[in-house]
Formats: sequence, C-alpha cells, structure tokens
Amino acid sequence: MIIVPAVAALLVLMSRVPVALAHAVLLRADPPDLCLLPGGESLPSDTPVCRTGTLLSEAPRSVALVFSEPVEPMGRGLRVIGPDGRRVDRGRASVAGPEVRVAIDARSAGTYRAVWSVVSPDTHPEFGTMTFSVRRAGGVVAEETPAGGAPAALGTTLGALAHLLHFTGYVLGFGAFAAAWLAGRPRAPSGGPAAAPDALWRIVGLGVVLLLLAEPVALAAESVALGAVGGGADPSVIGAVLDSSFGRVLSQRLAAAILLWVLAGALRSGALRAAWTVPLLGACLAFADGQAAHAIGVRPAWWGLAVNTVHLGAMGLWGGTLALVLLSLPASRSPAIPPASVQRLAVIGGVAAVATGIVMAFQHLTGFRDLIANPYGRTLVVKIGAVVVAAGLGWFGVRGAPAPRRLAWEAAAMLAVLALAGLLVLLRPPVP
Amino acid sequence: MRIERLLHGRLYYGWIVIGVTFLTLLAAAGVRSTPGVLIVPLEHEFGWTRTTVSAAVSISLLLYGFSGPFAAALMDRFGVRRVMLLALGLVGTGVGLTTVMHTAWQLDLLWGVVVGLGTGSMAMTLGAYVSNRWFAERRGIVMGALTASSATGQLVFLPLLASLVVTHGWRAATTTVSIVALAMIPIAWFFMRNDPREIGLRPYGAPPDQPDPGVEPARSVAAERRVAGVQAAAEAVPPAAPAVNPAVVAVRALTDSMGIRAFWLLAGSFFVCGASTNGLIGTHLIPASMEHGIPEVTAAGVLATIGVFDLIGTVASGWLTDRWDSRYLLCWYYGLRGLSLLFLPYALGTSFASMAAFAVFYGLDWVATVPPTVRLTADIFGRQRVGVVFGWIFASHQLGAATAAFGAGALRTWFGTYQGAFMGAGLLCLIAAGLVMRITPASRSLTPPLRPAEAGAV
Repeated sequence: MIIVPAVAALLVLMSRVPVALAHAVLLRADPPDLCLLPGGESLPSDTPVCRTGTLLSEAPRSVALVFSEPVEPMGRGLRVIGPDGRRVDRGRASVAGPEVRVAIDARSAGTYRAVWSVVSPDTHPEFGTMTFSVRRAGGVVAEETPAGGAPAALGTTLGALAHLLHFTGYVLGFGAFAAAWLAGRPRAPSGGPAAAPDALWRIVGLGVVLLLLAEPVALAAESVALGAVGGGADPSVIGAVLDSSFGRVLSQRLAAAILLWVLAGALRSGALRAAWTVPLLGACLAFADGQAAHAIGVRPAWWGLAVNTVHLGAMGLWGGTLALVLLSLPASRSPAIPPASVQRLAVIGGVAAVATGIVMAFQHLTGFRDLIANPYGRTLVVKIGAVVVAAGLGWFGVRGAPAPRRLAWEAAAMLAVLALAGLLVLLRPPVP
Repeated sequence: MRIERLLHGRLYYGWIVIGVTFLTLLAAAGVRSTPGVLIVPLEHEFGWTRTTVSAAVSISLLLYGFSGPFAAALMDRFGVRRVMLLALGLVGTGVGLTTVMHTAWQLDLLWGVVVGLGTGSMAMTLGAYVSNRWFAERRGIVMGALTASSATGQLVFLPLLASLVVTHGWRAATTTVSIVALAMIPIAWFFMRNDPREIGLRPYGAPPDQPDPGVEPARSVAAERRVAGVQAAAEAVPPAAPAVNPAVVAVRALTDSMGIRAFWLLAGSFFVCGASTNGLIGTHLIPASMEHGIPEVTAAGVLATIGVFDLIGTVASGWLTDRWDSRYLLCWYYGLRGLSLLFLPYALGTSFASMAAFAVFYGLDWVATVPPTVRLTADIFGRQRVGVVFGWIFASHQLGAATAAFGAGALRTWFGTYQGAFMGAGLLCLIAAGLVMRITPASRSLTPPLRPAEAGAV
C-alpha cells in the first residue's frame, strides 16, 4: 500500500499553498479614497468625506484599487455606479498582482460609487465601497447610505455555523476513529478495527454527514457575504465563488469526507486492513484546512501550517476520546476500548492542542493588550475559558466514575470550544 | 459471390467481415466524437446557450445506449448487412442535413434522435454479434480490436475535425463526417455478409460436427478470458433461436436483475463512469479548454491523447482483472478519476504540462473500468446472461453520459463556469469508489438462466 501515501501526497500538493500570503486589506485607491484609514479600516459611512469622497475636476478613465495581497475579484469584481444610479464600468475588472482596475465611461457630474468584492488568498471575502465626485457632489448615490450590514452579518453567522459543523464532523469522523485505533492497537493485533463496535461506525458515519453538511452552508455564507454588496445573491456569484480559492478548499473538504466514507466502508467489510489510512486522511484534511485559516499568513508559511495541522489533529483526538467515552456509556465496559489508554490519549490530545494554541496566539497577537482590545483577542479569551472548563471537567472524570451529567457538560464545553474556534477563523487577527 | 471465391483457401472471409465492421465502428466513433468540436461554433452562429446544445448531445448519448439491447433483435430479424447499411445511411444523411438547419429542435432531431439511433446500431452490440457469428476461436482478439476502433475513431478524427472547424467552419466538419459515413455504404454493400453459412463456410475454429455458432467449446473460454474482459460479453450472447423474440429476452433479463442489489451497485457505478467519460470530458473538455485560452486544436489533441492512452489502459486493465479482485480495481479507478477531475480546473488554468499529465492519467483510466465491471457481472449473474445484463448496465452508462452532458451544460449556463460541473463529477466518482466496495462477490440464489422455450412461451 505504498500508493496510498502517494495519493495523500497528491491531495496535499493540490493545496498549492502560496508562500506567505494572507488576509488582504485595501491600501489605496485611484481616485483616492479619503474615507480609507491606514490598516484597512474606514471612517463611519455618514461622515461627509465618505458620502461624497474626493472632488475631481474631470472624470477619470478607470478606477483602481490596490490591496495588500494579490486578490481574486468575484464576478465582475469592481462595479462603478454613476450619479443617476446606472453602472458606468465597462467590461471585467483586470487584475495585476495586488491591483484591480476597471475602465469606466463617466460623463455626468455628480457622486460616483465603486463597489468591490474580492477573495483573499486565505479564501476569506473582502468587500466594500468607495465614493468620489466629479465637478460637484450630488445625485442618487450621494443620497443613499450603502446597505450591507444585515447580509454581512448573516454571512458571518452562516460561516461560523459552517465551521462548527466542519470541526464537529472532524472530531466525530476522524478523531473518534483515531482514538479507537490508537487505544485498541496493543490489544488487538490481528482484528484491528474489524473488532470495533457498531456504534463506532455510526459515529464515524455521523461525522461524514456533518462534514458534508458543512460545505453547502459554507458556500452559502461566502455567497451571501459577497453578494451582499451587490444586492441579492445570483447564481453567477456562486459560480465565481466556486472558481476561487474558496472553491478549491471546498472541493478538497468534500473529497476528504467522501473518501472517509469509502475507507470506513472498506474497513468495516474487511476488504481493507490498513486502518492507518483514516488518520492519514485526517492529517491531510487538517493540512488542507490550514489554507482557509490564518495559518498561511504566518511567515514562514510552512511553520504556520504545521502548527495549525497539529492543533486541529490534537483537538480532533481530544474530542474523539470524549466521543468514545460517551459511546461506551450505555454498554458496560466494552473490552475493545480500555478506559486507561483512552484517558492517556485525551491528555496527550489536550496538552498538544493547548501547546499549539499558545504558539498560535504568539503568532497572531501583538501583545497581551490585544486580548481585550481586539475582537479576535476577546473571542480567544472566551475560547480559553471554555477549554479550561472542558479540561477541568475531564480531569474530574478521570478521578471518579463517569457520570452522565458531568459528561454532558464536558461535551457542551467541547462544542463551545469548537464553535469559538470556528468564529476565530472568521475574524481578522492583529497579525498579519 | 466472386470475392469470396477469390479469397477461398487463402484468407478466411470472416477477417474481411471484421475489417468492414472495424471501419464502420470507426466511422461511428468519428460521428460520436464530433459534437465536442461543434458546441462553441454552434453557439456563436445561432446564439444558442450551452444548455440547448448539450441537450441534443445528451439525447444522442441516451439513444446510443438504449438502442443497444434492441439492435440485436433487429439484426436477427433483418440481418446484419441490412441493419448496417440502414444505420450508415441514417447517420450520413442526418449529419449532412445539419448543414442546413436553423432551429434548435432541428438540432435535437438530427444530432439527437437520428444520430443517436443510427450510432446505437453500430455500437459494441454489432461487434459482439459479428464476432460471435463468424468466430468460434480468437474471439478475444477480434473483440479487442473492435473495441479499440472506438478509441481509434476519436484519435483519427478529432484533430482533423478541429482544424477543419477553425479554418473552414463547422459545416466543413459535418460535411466531411457525412461523406465518410456515406462512403462506407458501398463498402458494406460489397463486402458484408450476414453469416458464414451464406457463403458455405463455417465459423473460424468451429469443429466440423458443430454447426451452431452460438455454442462455444469450453476450452476456449479460459484462453479468451486472459485478454480484455470485454469478450465475456461476446461469449455469452445467447444463440438466436427463431422462436424467441430477443427483445423479450432483453426486457426479461432487466426485470429479473432489478431485484438484485449488486445490479444496482454495478449500474450505479457505471452510470458515474459514463457521466465522467463520454458525458463530461468527451463533450465538454474542448469548450472548457477554450474558456481558459487553450486553442481548439490543442484541446482536440488532448482528447486524442486520451484516446491513445485509452488503448494501453484497456489492455492493462484486462490483464489486471485476471489477477486482482475487480472491486479493488474499480475502487482505485474511480477514486483516482475523481481526484483527477477535482484537479482538472487548476490544470486548465496553469501550464500545458499539467494538461498533458491529466490526459495521460485520464486516458489510462478511460475504458479501464469496463473489464472489471464485465468480470463482476459475469461472476454474479453467470456467463450465460452476462451479455444481456451487461447490455443494460451499459445502457446505464449512457444514461449517465446523457445526464452529465446536459447537466454540465446547464450548470455552465447557470453558474457561468464549469467549476461546479467538474467538482460534481469528481465527487460522484469518489462516491462510485465507495459503492463498488459494497458489492459482495458471492452470487445469491439467482433464477436459472432463461431458456429459449420459456422466453418464447411469453
């Protein structure tokens, strides 16, 4: 079975991780965007300089935006609306590295608005608007304030839900299996996973279902967020999303979920004996997930990805052991899964997750002040709290007999950790 | 009659018949590969959407598959020669009439219905029928050569057609194809014969005391199995007894098989096979490449390369089928095919080397799924029925091809990109890899093979 690692290597190669690229922010625009602050933030949208923008004596031939990283425009990418509410951009936006430019045919005087939506190299969407005026301020555009609050919030909510489904599916599908495999190995040299109880296969099946469910939700989240600025979702937005780096990660995640189903079926029927293929697939999926996380913003990229992979794998293992314990609760002491080795695995997983988490905190935060100043930091604090709760409950369980209520709280704490991790992936860290 | 007397004693006339059949199947393969180069020119000229053109292609793929089981009935009733002449004439005039069409329904009628029915009578059924009539031995090589003509048809015609489209327009390409098909008519008229007994010969290798071509000696079976597994279909085509309506046999076999889980798993996986080969890549690779800036002739060359490696892959797969469990082979084939389909959109966007790698890889995989599927069908349903049951599994293949040809076109029109189609097909292939692993090789208590008397009593 030398070919299986080769296939895994192919999956990894498909990730095509760009070196040291990350979340893109708008640096400057041409005509200049007076509303834009250094660092990519904007002034509130009702300040006069944001409503009318810079005043030009003559209409420009094109509008250009320069970002901090090379981006992929979504669909048309850059649309410019004239003072009468009609579009004045001609043709698709052209991309030259970090610059996105579109030619415009602007004749009338008044305020113009440029609406842009792009995808960063880490598959996260960026969108916004910018205004400028020619000869005088006024017109339809100047009157209205840009919408985008509600759809953007919906996009974030859906995205957080998608990540929660994905992480939970990962824990149940890959983590539980890996825990059972590692725990059962010294006991069953010839049987292997064939001796695993039916309940384990049901958990893995549930994991596959959750992994598959997460992707349409993620696609909806990305499409809603990107279509928000345009006003309404239309199929071409979905098509453009599929074409981007987001679509690449989406297909890799779906492929990993289906391959897990294939491998699980083969192992269960006895056609395949090499159980290590499933944890290997899990490691590859953790690696592929790094492309859509902030890991690729770390310099050097391989270090960020390695830490992220270990973090995800360790979290999967820790959560998997909890799933196994929950499994064996109704049945009395299934001999194939001894509790002592499961506890050992839980400790290993938990310690590795916390250690890599600390490393990632150093990678993405500038200092302790960020923990309270930045939304990313604040979410991280809450996540650390949930981790402490989960670990504490687990520690108490090691001491005494497993009680269903304590286990339920521990499972709830674990779910909270996963949900917060999903939210963290969506937020923008201080570094980079 | 003079022709046979000239060759009598020097060359068995059956080889001439096989040669004519080879050329006919070659022409049919050329006709079937033409729609791929026509999609973009037709859109430009008539303003049709990708969906509209794909619908016609999918109709022809569907009819190509479903007329297979019934074509054998026609050949029994009217004779192979007459069916061949009729089919060639139908295809030739249908393709020729497309040069004067105006509306989409005319496209559906000509490229869809007429070409579909015509090529359906010139499919693997024809090859199996002819090789079974004229040869008792050497059927493996004969069947392998006739199956290879389909791949050779893609190879010979596609780059030529693409360059014709680019330099002279699409009408030049369809006229060429029409002329080739019509030119085969006099060749078939002069050289084709229905049965060796018509000219006083016996099937090649048949012992003197065994006149019936349908009953094969047991010793040749093992020898033939060593070559591509497709000839299992040839071995088990039931002998045509005059009291039996073969169409009834075909339908009866379907209704009997529908109750068996393995049939659905095999038909389902073969549905995905058809969707990912003829339906998606065969029809849409050229338009998809052109959208990424790859010129039409280069894209046609990629498909031709797939045709070349297809030959190698089929032979290798036949050899592997004799040695390994067919389910593992199918699992590997579908798994690798799915991953390469997921990889394709990025190959299209980057260097030519990745397109070449895709062509080699995909080509080896193209027909490779056939020998293990035939082997599994024979193992589960028995050698007597594998011919007619595999006919239905192949119909499922074409149903998948039709679905993918239309579906990819519709997705392309709706989304504005082929990404969704390639992704969906890749994931379907991975699902098929899981499905084939669930086929249990032990055959259950199947109904005994249909005897002609029973079928005739219906």
